[in-house]
Amino acid sequence: MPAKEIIDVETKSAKSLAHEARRLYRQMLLIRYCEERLAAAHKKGLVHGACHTYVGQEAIAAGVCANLSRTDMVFSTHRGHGHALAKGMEPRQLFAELYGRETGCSRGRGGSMHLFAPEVGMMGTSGIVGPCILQAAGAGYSFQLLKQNNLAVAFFGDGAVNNGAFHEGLNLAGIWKLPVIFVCENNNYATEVPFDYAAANPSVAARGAVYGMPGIEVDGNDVMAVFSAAKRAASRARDGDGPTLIECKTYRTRPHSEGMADFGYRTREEVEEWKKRCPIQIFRSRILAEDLLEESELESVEKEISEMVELAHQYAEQSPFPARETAAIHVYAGPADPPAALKEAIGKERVMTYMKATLEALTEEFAKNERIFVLGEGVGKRGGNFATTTGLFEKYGPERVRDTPICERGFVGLACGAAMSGTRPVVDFMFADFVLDAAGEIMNQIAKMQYMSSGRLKMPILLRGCIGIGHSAATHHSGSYYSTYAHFPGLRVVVPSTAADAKGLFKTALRSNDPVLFLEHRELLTSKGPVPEGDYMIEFGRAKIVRPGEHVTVVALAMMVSKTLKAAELLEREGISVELIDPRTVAPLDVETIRQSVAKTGRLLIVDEDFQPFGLGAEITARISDVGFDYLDAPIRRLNTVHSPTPYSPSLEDAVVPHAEQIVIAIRELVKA
Amino acid sequence: MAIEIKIPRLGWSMEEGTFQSWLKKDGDSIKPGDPLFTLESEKAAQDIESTDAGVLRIPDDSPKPGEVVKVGHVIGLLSSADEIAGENPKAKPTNGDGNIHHDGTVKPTVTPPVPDNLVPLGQAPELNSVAESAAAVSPRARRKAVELGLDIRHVRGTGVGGRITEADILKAASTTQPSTPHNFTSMRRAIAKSTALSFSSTPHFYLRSEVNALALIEMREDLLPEMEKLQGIRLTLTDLILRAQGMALNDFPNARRIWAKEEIIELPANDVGIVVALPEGLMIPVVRSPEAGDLLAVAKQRSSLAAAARAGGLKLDALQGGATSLSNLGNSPADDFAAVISPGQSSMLAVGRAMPRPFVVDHKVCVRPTMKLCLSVDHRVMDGGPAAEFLGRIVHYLEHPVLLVKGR
Ligand SMILES: Cc1ncc(C[n+]2csc(CCOP(=O)(O)OP(=O)(O)O)c2C)c(N)n1
Repeated sequence: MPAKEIIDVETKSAKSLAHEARRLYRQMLLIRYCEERLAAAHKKGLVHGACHTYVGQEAIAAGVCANLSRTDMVFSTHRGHGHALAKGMEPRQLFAELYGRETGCSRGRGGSMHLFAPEVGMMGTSGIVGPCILQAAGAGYSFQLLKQNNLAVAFFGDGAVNNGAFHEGLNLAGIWKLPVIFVCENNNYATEVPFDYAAANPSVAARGAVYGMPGIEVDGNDVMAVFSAAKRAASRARDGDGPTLIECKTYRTRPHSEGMADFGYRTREEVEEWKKRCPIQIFRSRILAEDLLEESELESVEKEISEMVELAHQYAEQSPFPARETAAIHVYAGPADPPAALKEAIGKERVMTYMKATLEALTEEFAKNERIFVLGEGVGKRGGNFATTTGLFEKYGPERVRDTPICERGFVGLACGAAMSGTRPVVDFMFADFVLDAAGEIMNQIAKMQYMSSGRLKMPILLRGCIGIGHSAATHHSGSYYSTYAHFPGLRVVVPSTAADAKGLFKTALRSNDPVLFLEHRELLTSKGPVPEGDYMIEFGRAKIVRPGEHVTVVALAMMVSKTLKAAELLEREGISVELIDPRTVAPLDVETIRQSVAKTGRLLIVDEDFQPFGLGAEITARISDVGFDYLDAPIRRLNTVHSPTPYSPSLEDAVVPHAEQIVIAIRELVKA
Repeated sequence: MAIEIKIPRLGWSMEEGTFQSWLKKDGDSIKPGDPLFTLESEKAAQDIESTDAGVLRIPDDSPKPGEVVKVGHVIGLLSSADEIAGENPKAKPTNGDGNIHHDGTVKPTVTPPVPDNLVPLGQAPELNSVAESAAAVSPRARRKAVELGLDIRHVRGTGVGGRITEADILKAASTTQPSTPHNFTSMRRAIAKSTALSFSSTPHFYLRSEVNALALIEMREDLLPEMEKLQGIRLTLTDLILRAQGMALNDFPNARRIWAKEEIIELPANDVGIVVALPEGLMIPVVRSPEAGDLLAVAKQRSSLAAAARAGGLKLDALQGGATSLSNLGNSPADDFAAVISPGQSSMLAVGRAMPRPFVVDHKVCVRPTMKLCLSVDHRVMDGGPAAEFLGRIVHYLEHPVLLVKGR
């Protein structure tokens, strides 16, 4: 089909036709010139890390993005320079980022694989193959929920389609008819692995049918073909008909990454053959053949772009490196403090279960903030496996209380994209053991997103689930693992031990702009306590002195709080006075309160249901030895669950977890030490 | 400054004793509580423990086994590490006798005596050097020692593996540094001496009883408002117990006996000491004849003695006399405890808090406010039978409080 006709669907005049053609040509050329300049800069050492160029694939970014508005969103991969430029990132921001400068699009935090310009809808490139697919679905979810007529695009290589993220993301987009275009750039190789080796069925487009969406195969080196396919996919998405999968057949003519050997897995001849099919040359000939623009006009575009790229390079080279002291800013959205006005609970107290307390917090916040939605298995009509969403589905419907298929990685990755695009997902894992299935999305994406975007994206996500040993749940339904999560910068890890704390902390989590892992001990869910009515929030990083004492400080969390309390009462009769501290949040950790207590008692025991090696106790021990060494009158002790998978049989289960009796013994020994 | 080791008075009447033997050698490092020597009084031989720390110096003229020694005679010295520190361990001594001269000064010995956990200063490593001592020191203890100016090398650790803890430092500071105001007062020292003396020289035994205090409490509550209104004095349970104790003494003169100068004497009056807790320790002023007169008089005496004790204005003779005392911890969470007999007396009644407790009345378990009494008795003076009779009288009066109003 002539280019004229493809463009012509909406643009009738010759002038606008010419304008469109110039735009596409200009876009491809910009990408090409930038890449070539960056490749040269890489050789000179100006680009410090990896540099995956897009040479040979320009038609795809240009053709797809020509159909997008500024408020549509693009999620991309390691090979993302072209997508960023096509979505509107300024070349100089791109150069500066790759040169590691303060003026870069991610202020030097990201480099080639972490390009962010959310202000123009460029939501990030990623060093991990796969997650962009889920994140685009998440943005689609936000648009649907907020009734915005926008769409999201995921660009990814053929390498990603054999990854679980592709399956989970496309399936979710398919069942919920999300406004997303999935663009697979099939350049035949994932690094050096040929696609026809890696895929049992080498047609990507054919997979669309599996997920209930059109799968279109186009010549990715023909910008008009891409443009046209994307145009149809875009209007389908905007019309509410759901996602489309487009497979663009293409080829990268430079090595996988600058500086890498290129001919171990492919031949020079093959590369030369594809160079002849250069998308820019093809389009140039076509413009001239179809008389859309004069040769001189094309030349002036070439000159303009070439100058622009040179300026971008100069700008970047002259830009300063970021100041060293800024290396760790933007890890969190802001201080964990809720507004002072909300800190104190003023409502009258009622006795209710821990479970009801968080449900009350969720219900109150749901009414206040329509951007909050819940994702999880059985959260809809069923009201949650642990009655975490009872009554919400009836009131707010499926868009805000969304039952998911069993694909933890998928819906967590989707939640990530949703948070990036302005909604506030609550992911209900039921058992927090399942968090591990989504570990990469949480630790590599959600936790790091604010930092990588140099603070421009906020990540208000609440990830909740049950932890803890009990009732023969066995090893896949008993894990705590909070120390593991706290290891990662960017996550808040909350582990309340009482109903009142659970409500206050849940509210703080729902208003925080940071991702929060909210871990509820299953054996506490039906425990009852006084809970204030209405609005109150508990600051993250503020420990509670559950019980004051003189002789020994015990830090305990979750279920271990009540066990330690029991132990302390027994010990009181022996004249041993225990100060019990519940940190309530593992990240941030209130070391100061512990320090002050140790300053008084000189002795510290950490009772922790999570595993001992590299855990909470180890962290507290190290921190106290930093700030409170001189207060210590005895070595710090830890009491933990046995370092083994959690057994099933009641006798074995009972044997691995600390009980009040063992806590008593540990404290007695510590007092004597 | 060296601390003198003196022949202690082991009993009320002791003036001299027989030195048997040293239990430590010259140059040994002594910790508080270490047995130093054996001394024989008329009744028994006793190992005398050190109350202080230091390095033992035994002079030439130290008493020989079997020698009779007067109470108060200095038989040796404990020198502090600072003094050791003043010595140059490398220097050859000039006279080399290594003994204490009669002026109390110490001359270095050929090899300066170095206690196991004490390092000669010339080789003294820095605080955190591994060689400092085999026993570890907790950081807190180390800090405390610096705060108190205490040389940590004096201190014996009682923690796991001999680790020196803060408690060890505090203990050492209280014995080696009597001038340190932080944790050592003269009252404390006096209490330490008198309780240690009493406890080690008086053979204690204990009798316990639980009394139904319902009537007692009710009666006090009945009397309280009126007495308070009329006289401005609060009648306390303590007053009633003092009364009961006085009346029992009156009924049972055996309990007025004490061990004095190796004989038993019977005191003429029914006086009862009352333990008054003070911020820095305690005093035991004596209530005169609480069994006589009206109850109000007892309350008045008790309250003015307590006030004087708190104000530091007790006259010496207010502390004298009485064969028994009362220690009432009724306002504390202590249910039940045993007390150390005050030196010069022969018993001490310890009373815990009154609490509702299961109690059998008429073959039925009921809840009654009860008090747990424990009478500590000097076995030299009284045996179990008579002591039980004495306690029985007290219990009888407490359970029939009308008798208390009347008095003797
Ligand atoms: C999860 C993950 N595994 C492995 C890698 C290493 N890696 C980086 S790029 C790449 C190949 C990706 O191939 P493809 O998706 O086809 O994109 P292309 O490089 O061909 O554009 C691989 C394996 C990665 N970044 N992420």
